[in-house]
Amino acid sequence: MNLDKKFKDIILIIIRDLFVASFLLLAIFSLLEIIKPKIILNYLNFGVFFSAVLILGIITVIYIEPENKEVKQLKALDYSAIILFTILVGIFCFYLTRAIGWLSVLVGIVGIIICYLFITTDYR
Amino acid sequence: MKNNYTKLIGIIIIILTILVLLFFLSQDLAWSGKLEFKTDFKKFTPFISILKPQDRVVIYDVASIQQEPVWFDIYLPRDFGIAKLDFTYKNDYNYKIEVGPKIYEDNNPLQILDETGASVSANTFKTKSLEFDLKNLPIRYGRLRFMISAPELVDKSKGIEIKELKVSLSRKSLWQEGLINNITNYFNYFKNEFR
Repeated sequence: MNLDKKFKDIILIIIRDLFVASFLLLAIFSLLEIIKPKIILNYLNFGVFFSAVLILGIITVIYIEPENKEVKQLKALDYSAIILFTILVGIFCFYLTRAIGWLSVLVGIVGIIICYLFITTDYR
Repeated sequence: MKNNYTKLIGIIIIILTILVLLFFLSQDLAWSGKLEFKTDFKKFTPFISILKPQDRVVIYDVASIQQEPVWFDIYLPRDFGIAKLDFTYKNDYNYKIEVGPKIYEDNNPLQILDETGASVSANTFKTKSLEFDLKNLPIRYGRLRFMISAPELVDKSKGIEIKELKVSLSRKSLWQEGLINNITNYFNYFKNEFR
């Protein structure tokens, strides 16, 4: 039972770190694409990659438990900063997927939810 | 104990992330000195467009050119020295087919896609290679336009069928050129051809 929990913890840590790494890659790829179009998109199926990032993000926010440390109380300024950041991430997701039409709005909203839940994991 | 695992996983994932980034950059930088891609002209691919104008081409199992000339664009992510074009085609009416970069000068380097040296596959399609020196050719926004011309083609029902085009671009590899030169040439190409 204890071994099972340890195994589950390791898998969740891997998924969380993969999500952070893939999100970072997504941001770098997007920046490179703005500088030189097709530098990444010629060699990568962007739809599959973006879906993988979203799935990893969803699993992360659903299953990752807050770490056992003192929980800081969020103030209004913290909330404002988090909300502003998550909205920017949502716009970013929408911009990246705008080619798929109205579904990009959905992707943007999912991006906002995942980002908000991920940032506030330790405060819940 | 959990902290050790977390650190180890973190380090592995950071290394993997850097490797993934390097992998994609090395593709665009063509560090191996070669880049190959192919098309059947049925739809746009990242590196080769369809045959244009579209009303001169009928697409079924193959792309059938019914009026000439037609052209297609090749996307060059960086500076390459040579482009080798392998056409798999069927020319039942023995037209003189000319292929080359489309430039508006007298010294238009068109080459003849003839039967000499062509290999014949089972279903009568022939494969012929043409090589082009890419130096001093007009590349705009990373695209080089090639033209296929067959002046004798006047009857729409007697077209030229193209099954596949394989493009092999080559240049000096990273090991032959050196890292600094390689990256400098990449940025010079980007500065000149994409702005």
